[in-house]
Amino acid sequence: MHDVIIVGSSPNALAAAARLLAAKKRVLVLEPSDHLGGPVSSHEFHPGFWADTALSSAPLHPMIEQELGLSIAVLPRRTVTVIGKAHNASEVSVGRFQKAVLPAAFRNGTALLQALHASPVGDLPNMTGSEAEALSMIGAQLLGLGEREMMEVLRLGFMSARELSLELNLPFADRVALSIGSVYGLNEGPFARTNVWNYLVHEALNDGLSGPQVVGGLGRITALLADKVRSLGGEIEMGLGPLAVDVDAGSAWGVSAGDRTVEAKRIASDLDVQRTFGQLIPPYHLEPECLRRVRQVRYRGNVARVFIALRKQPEFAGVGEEDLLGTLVIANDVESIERAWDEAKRGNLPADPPIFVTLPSRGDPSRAPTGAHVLAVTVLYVPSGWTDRSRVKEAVLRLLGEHAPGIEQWVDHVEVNLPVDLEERFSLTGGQLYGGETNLSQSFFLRSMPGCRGGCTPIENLYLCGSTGHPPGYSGMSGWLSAGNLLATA
Amino acid sequence: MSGYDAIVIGAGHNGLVHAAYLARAGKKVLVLERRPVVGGATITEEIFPGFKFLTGSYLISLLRPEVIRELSLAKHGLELMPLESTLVPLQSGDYFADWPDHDMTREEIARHNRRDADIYPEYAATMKRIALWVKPLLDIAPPNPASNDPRDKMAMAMIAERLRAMSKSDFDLLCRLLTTSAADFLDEWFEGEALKGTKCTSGIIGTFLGPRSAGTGYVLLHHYLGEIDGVFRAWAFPRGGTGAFAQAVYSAARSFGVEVRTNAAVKQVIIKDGVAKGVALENGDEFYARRIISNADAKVTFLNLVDKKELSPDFVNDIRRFRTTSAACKVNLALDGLPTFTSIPKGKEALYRGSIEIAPSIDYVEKAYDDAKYGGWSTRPFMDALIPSLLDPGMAPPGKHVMSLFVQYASSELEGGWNAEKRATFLDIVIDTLSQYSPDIKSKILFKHINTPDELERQFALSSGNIFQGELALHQLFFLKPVPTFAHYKSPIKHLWMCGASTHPGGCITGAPGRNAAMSLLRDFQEESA
Repeated sequence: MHDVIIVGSSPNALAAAARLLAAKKRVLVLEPSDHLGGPVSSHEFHPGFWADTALSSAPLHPMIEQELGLSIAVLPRRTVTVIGKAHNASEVSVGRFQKAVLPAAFRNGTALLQALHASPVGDLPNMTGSEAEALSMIGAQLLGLGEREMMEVLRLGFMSARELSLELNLPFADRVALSIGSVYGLNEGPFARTNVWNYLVHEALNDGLSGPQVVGGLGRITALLADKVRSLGGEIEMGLGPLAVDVDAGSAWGVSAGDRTVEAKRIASDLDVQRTFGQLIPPYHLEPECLRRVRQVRYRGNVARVFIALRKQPEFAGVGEEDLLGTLVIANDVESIERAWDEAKRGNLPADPPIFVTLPSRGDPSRAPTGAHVLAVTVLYVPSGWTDRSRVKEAVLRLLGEHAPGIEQWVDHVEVNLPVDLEERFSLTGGQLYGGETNLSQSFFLRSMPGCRGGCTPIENLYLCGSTGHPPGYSGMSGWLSAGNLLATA
Repeated sequence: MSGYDAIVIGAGHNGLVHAAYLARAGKKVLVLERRPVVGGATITEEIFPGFKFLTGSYLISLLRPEVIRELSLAKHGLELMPLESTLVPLQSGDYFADWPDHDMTREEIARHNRRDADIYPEYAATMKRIALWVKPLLDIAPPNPASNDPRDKMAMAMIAERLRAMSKSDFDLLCRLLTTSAADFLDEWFEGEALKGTKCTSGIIGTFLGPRSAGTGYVLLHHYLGEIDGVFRAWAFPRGGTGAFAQAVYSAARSFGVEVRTNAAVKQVIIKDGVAKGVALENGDEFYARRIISNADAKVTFLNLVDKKELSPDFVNDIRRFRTTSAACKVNLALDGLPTFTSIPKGKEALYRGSIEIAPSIDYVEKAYDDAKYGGWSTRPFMDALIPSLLDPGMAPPGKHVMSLFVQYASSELEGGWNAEKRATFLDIVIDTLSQYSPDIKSKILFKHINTPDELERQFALSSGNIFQGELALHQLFFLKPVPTFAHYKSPIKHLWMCGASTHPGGCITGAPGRNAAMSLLRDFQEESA
């Protein structure tokens, strides 16, 4: 019998597997689909052209990388260049996001979130000794900033990108980049409060607009982790089709695939809460109150990923060679981003959706045939249930054409991944890339869902280990912390 | 002219409450008011002969019961009449009604949605528990979490203790409510559009955000803290209008010996060697006291009344960034008889006596915000209407009526600013919207009056016309209110204090900032003499 079966194979699942194996547990990883890594994967969308499918960046947490002795090659953090029209301006301007001039509270807030992300979530307000200790260390880090800076950090996460931009009188490029970074993955516009928290979350994860590109593609992280798991004696099986967790008297004891059942002392699910308690486990195993909490988690994914195979390197007006190694944000001012959200919340595709673009083949030629290029476009505010691929494609090509004139003649192929496609492909409820929106109201001890902390669930011996828990993202940390908790309670 | 213990700048309700508490403890207090009348935005004005208009605040809900008791306001003429209902006329011609009586409300909810009626008791009980938990925090000076002062440490420990005593599910709910949007929060509980429409309005009152914007959950909670004589979430109308409430506090204050001067606009706080010594009036008079307490909002106080040389650039910046954007305006109508709301059925005429809310759904309110947020105004605004003359016949001549309307969104960020023409146009929009539900209202209007944010600013010295003397937002809440490190009613200027709604716990007719500041100041006096 296995000690632990892990369902799913994102870096969170694999990091959990590695930590458990290092503690001499027998671990089996079961992946329903025919590829490993979940959203941290790459695919060949056109012969010779490779794309990081769901995310433009998802680096492994440096501590985990070090603990596991992995060496993942990444390019430097991306610069962010904003292309668009400022409010009331008639001309398009191109500017660099000057992160360094943001107030110290941004850096202090990011550092604090990094500490929080690497810390197990206490069962607030009644924490165990070690949880309280971990949290009090973060409290001490906060107090150590001094009274003034501490207050500056505290207020930052409560604000909206818009009011913060006004307060700091940020120039066009900075306020647009801050807004896009703040609403990325949220079902909200830049005017809504607390979205700066989301900006800081992605800064802490290092997977936001400036998140670095992984050489060889995101799938490389997954492949290295899977090798590590196997070398530690773990087993990985994939292509199993729909899986079910077997539960008896409120306690999980095995996983079934078709007629086959494998027993284990503990089960850890890398899937989001909704899928764990809707697909892996029949809902009737949960108390009504708990079921209600499952349904309360919000997954309104509104990000589409569009990949374009280009026969030559594109030229964006006013954008330098160097900038093409970074991220290009194409969006007009904060107001127009909010207007795009207005459309999305009514179920419409915005006429001018904000997009951000990377050219992975510029820094890593292995992504495309010689001389050719891959353009990866992240489209914001594509409504969760949107199914019209051609309209998204048209909008993206038109926006690109406006800023890179003539680009259309070099396009060989376009692949559109709508939120519904990402949902289907990676088993992400609502196409939400992080297994639940990463708002302040779904963070920290309110993540994965209230009452489910440290990976524990109401089902005995069943744990959560994915991005749906704390912290969000694919740094492996959620799985790592959950494995730690599992070991502590074993 | 000396010998005062304290000078209070501004005779708004918090200034009067503050002065009354100080005088009650034996202090010699002078209140200086810019206008010819006391009350600030807590006022009843006869703008049109015979008709009493509520040009500022219009209802009482969050008034601390201690204030009524300790200042014996009933003895000084305060008579509160609870509102008996909320009516939401629907676009279909039907209506939704909410009563303080739990079972009646539940029955009405069931008429619209059976499932909502089933869950409603749990919702009501949960919100009451949460409100009960938060309430004691309204009555303390916010502790500074970075401070080593034993008093701060004790208050922090008290809060931590209370948090631990909370059930886990309530704690989670409180944290989510504080950080989410009113719409997301209500969607977790209810399905019915009308019910959610009326409930979501608590999340947007005085706030330039729509119900789908995060940040409105906290505003919703703020408005759930209301309590009249121990009845939760009850709203009351004071006989004679909110101005009568200010008059009751004024009368109480005078009975304790407070001296009040009207037409006495303060020009500047007199500061010597970094210590506030007195105030200079516009007319040249000067008054001196041991403490100066400003009931004006934080921006008016520190950007207008204090010489900037006396303040650090950091502090001035903190005050400048204190958000006061306003989204609300106030309309009053003099009516030649009672208007008809077509959705009110025969036998339910009592609904006229309550609040009438034009908020048929979350989408309606969100659309009203969307219209306004880019510098425009709502083409179909959210409105909270009241016919005060039905509750207190003295508000209008016999057979006539007044109607008070609280209207959003018409903001201080209107493109190009406000002027008489725009005010008139928006007033027409309000009346057109109203006439969709009450077709005969236009024919009954004898006189109409609107206070847009610019007017609220001009008349009541509210920065940007913000009715709460500052936005209700987490980043300027509790120990961050109005600005970080000065949330304890003190200021960087020695002996200059604050007691207005810019300070904790904020706006609405609560009396709490005035009372809390008085408690802190009295202790300060004690320590000084010890």
